Amino acid sequence: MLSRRKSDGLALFAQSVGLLVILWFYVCYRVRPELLYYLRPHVFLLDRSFFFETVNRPGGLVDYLSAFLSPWFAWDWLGAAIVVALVALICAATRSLIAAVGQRGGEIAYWLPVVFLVTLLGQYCHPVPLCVGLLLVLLGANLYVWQGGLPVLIRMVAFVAALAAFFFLAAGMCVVFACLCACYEGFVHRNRLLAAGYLLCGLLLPVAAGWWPLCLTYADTLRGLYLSEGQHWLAIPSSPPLAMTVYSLVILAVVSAVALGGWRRKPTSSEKVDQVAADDSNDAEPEGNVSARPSRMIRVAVPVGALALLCLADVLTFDSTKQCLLEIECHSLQRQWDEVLAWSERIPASDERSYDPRIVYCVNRALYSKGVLLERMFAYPQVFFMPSLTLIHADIDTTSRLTPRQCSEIFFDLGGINESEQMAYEALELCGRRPETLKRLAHIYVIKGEPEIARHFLRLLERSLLHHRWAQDLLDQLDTDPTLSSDPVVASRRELVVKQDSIGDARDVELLLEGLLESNPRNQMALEYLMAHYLLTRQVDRIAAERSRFDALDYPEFPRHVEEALACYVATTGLKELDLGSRSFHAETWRRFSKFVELHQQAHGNTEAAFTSLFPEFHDTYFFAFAFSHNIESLKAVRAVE
Amino acid sequence: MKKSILLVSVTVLILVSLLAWGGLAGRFSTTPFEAAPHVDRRPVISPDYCDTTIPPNIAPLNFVVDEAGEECAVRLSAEHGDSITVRAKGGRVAFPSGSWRRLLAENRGGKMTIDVCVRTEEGGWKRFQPMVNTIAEDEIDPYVYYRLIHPLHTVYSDVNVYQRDIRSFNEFPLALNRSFGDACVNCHTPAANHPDRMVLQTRGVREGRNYGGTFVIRDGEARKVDTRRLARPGETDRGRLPKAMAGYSAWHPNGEILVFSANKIHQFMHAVGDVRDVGDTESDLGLYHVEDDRLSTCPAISAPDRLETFPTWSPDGHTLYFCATDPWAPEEYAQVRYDLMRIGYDPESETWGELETVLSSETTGLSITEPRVSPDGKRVLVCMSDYGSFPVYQKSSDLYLIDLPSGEYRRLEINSPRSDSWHCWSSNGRWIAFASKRDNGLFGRIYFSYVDEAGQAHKPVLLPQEDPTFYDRSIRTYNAPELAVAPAPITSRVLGRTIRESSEPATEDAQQMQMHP
Repeated sequence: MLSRRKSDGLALFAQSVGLLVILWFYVCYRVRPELLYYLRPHVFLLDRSFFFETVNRPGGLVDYLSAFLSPWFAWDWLGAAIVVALVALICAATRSLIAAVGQRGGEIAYWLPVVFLVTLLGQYCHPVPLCVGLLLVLLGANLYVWQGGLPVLIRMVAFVAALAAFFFLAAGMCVVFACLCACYEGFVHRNRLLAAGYLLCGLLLPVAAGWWPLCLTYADTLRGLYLSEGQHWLAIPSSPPLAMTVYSLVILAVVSAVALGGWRRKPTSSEKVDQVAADDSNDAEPEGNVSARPSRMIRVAVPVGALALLCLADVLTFDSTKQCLLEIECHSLQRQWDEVLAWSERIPASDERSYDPRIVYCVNRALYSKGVLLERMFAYPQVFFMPSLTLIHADIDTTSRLTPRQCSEIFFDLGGINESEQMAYEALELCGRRPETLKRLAHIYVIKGEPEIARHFLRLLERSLLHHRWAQDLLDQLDTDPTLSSDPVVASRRELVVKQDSIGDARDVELLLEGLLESNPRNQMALEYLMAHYLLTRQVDRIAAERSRFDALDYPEFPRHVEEALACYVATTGLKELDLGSRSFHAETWRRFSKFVELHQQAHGNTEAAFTSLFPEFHDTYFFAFAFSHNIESLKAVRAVE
Repeated sequence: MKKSILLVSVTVLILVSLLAWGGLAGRFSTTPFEAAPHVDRRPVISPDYCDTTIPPNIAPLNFVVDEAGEECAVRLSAEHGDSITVRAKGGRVAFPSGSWRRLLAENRGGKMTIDVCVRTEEGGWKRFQPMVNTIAEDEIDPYVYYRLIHPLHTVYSDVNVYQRDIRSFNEFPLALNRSFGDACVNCHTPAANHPDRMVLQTRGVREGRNYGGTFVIRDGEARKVDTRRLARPGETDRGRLPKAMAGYSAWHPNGEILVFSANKIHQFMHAVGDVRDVGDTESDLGLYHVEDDRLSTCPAISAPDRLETFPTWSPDGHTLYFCATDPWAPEEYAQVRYDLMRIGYDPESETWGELETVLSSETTGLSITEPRVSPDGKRVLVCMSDYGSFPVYQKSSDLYLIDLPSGEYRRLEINSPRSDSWHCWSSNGRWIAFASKRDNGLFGRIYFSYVDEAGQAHKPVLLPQEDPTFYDRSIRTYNAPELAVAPAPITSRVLGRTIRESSEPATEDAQQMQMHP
């Protein structure tokens, strides 16, 4: 008997390890935890005040632990290891609970939450807060079960105290704790009344505590029980109903697994209610249940089934488009431009998100950094009807709310230091203490000649888990050279900084870019972005009027799209010639333009026909964008068919 | 078995005793203050608590000794009572609260000397010149309310008002905006003579609900008041205030009348230098009569051709002081200068006197804002800056004291080259609290300065923190400090619930009016 149990245990251990290793590979290479890191990269500070600030509200401990674990996701292998460790602990705790409630190992049921967790990972919902919360209450429930032999009154008192504690530590997750304890009382002690009381308590306590004394909203009170809104735009699931359902299923799976175990519990005739807990803790398996031990075939089938379920979940629910979008954002933040362009080509053409201004913004930055913005931008999806180049809206409040981080970044690159500073603070307020925002603010103040303020941000980062070395290095550099003249990031931006004050509020991108060029005619990024802006807003006359700006930067010839725009300008205004200075049109541009016009005329005003005939050859030209930019839906449709 | 347990216990006991003795010996071993060679300068300490006048009821002024060395020893001494000696390895000096309190209590009106010795890497001690601070006879009000925010932002998600017990390091939230839809919270004004009353403004639209409003707090309860009623014709005696949320407000000494400004705000950005700037495009004053929930105004304080703001009452309640300027176009922002005005008011009959100019911007060449009358009614403390009505964003902003009987004004000696603003008086008129960006030009910090009988302001003291390095890494700015004699008359949870429950569906107007610096 014992040797069989031992071999069973070994087999189970081997199965579990095998599955966890497979899970690690899956998370590490398929999901890529680094992408999740960029959804929550907030700095974790190693100081007392950060701890107290974080834990001083319901769910605070879960927040704190999540904040501690999340930064490690910056490394795929470590992030995967954390996920696997959390999953393993959840499984172990669930199994132990099933064993205690159902007196059986729960060979199948305890794997159920894993399947849903994997599905959730495939939706790119950050798993850490859920896992930490769940683990916390599972440990609590195990502890409750472990002391289950105590008299009922003591158990009740312990439950109420623990419930209150778990409400403060894990907010809404305390409901799960109450459910698990209720299962134990209902199935093991057969005390249905107490179980019902526990359930009622579990539901009422958060609501009551939220109303008084804590005065929280219901959303805050039940935090953790539902998928909360992320601060990053990509933290919003592609399919919120699916993600919310899966999130709930993870929690339900744990409770159901335990409840199911209890449901199938067969009390033996000799079983005395008060002895059950003691039996459980001694891990003694009643004889009555031995016959119910799963057969070898079932035990082999379990891991296979779990694997099959994992594969199925991946095939059916993995959000590969979200992965592309996250990869683009992630590589854009790291200025890995080739990767940005490569991933942008992998977004399914039919997916509207390839036209999301925030993605188009990343792609355009990549194109500019590769030196081909005005050469190839129309080979990629572009947005004509809303800001996508700089993401600056006409209403500063909208910009501040929607895209402060990106705006701060682009302003910084363009040399609009004050605008970048303002947007960095908006990002700090709305998106939290993201390391890139704090680092940018440090750079901004060095550029502005305020190293003392820069030190504030560096001292803060100096206390962070992952960025302390970077901060220390910069602080050391500041000690020796307060201007950081040798720092390439600072030096390159300092050259572009505006010297003459003017007032505005960064709502007019055209004025802003023109202002930057007035201040420094050799600001190449401002020039190319201004031209790209003219292209997207179909202001070919402005391109013609401002073409001499290319002289200041010694462009040997006009970039392709500018040349195409000038051709459109000449054609639409009926000019005989245009003074191009030392430059001239490429013959190929005229040839293609003539052919474009010819094919367009053959359509006899039928826009749809013209669109269809011109798309294959001209879709990456400005002629095409100029003629059809208003017909964005058709463009999307054609791209989708392609 | 028993023997071995006994042996282990005794060993552990001996070890613990040795460790404890070592620690205590280290703590109380005499530091060679007398024997150490002298250094002919004062030590660098941060914050700079040197030559200041300190309130006798302030929390320990912990600081960092910013001198190279292995260890430092600091001795606090005064004429009466025991001196306090503290040793610190990392240079962070924290004084025990009890001894600190005793020392201050026994030496009111006397001097307190700070002696600093530093042990060098070579092992020897060096002693710096002592620093001397004056302990004032007069206490400062024990509480200060302030708003803690990031320095520049238009949108808000973490804007809170706190109250701090100045006698300790205890900080309590008064309004946490996470409990009412992350709305903005500002302009918190306690009633000086009525600790049970205060007013607080919120603004913000989240998920279709408008959380904005003026919340009048009395006897532990908050009530939302829609001051915009005054903008609606037919409901008041004038009905021409801009349809804007209440901004700056002040309690009448009788605690029954609240004067407020309704401001339409224009925010803009500079391309160079300090980023943000703010100005009022419209503003008028109105009164809220708390007892009968009634609003009123008069032409002199809501003139169509003037912008009136920053109202404040004289201590006798018979004069309303405020600032006013002519309307201006956005491009003229740098020429906008406010005058200091006053008008008589009889709260019994609700009649107004003659409007007069106390100090014109033409005389000063500067914009006069944020007037606060001293509790004895003899002086007005104001901000003066190059232009406009938002001195906190201007380096040129300084504090000036106007002597009311003579009409003379002078710049206080305590000003810094950076913005000094958001000032207030303590109830005994001996202390002022203000927000200053003197450290770096970006983050506002709260300072207290003693103002003597002659109106001389003494070198200010920074609001102390338990961790003296706190300000070095804090990226939030303190603004609008308000001294108070008692803790807030409401708890943050009750206030939060009231604000949340009194929210209403957002209208388009509310969306537009939520902007506030």
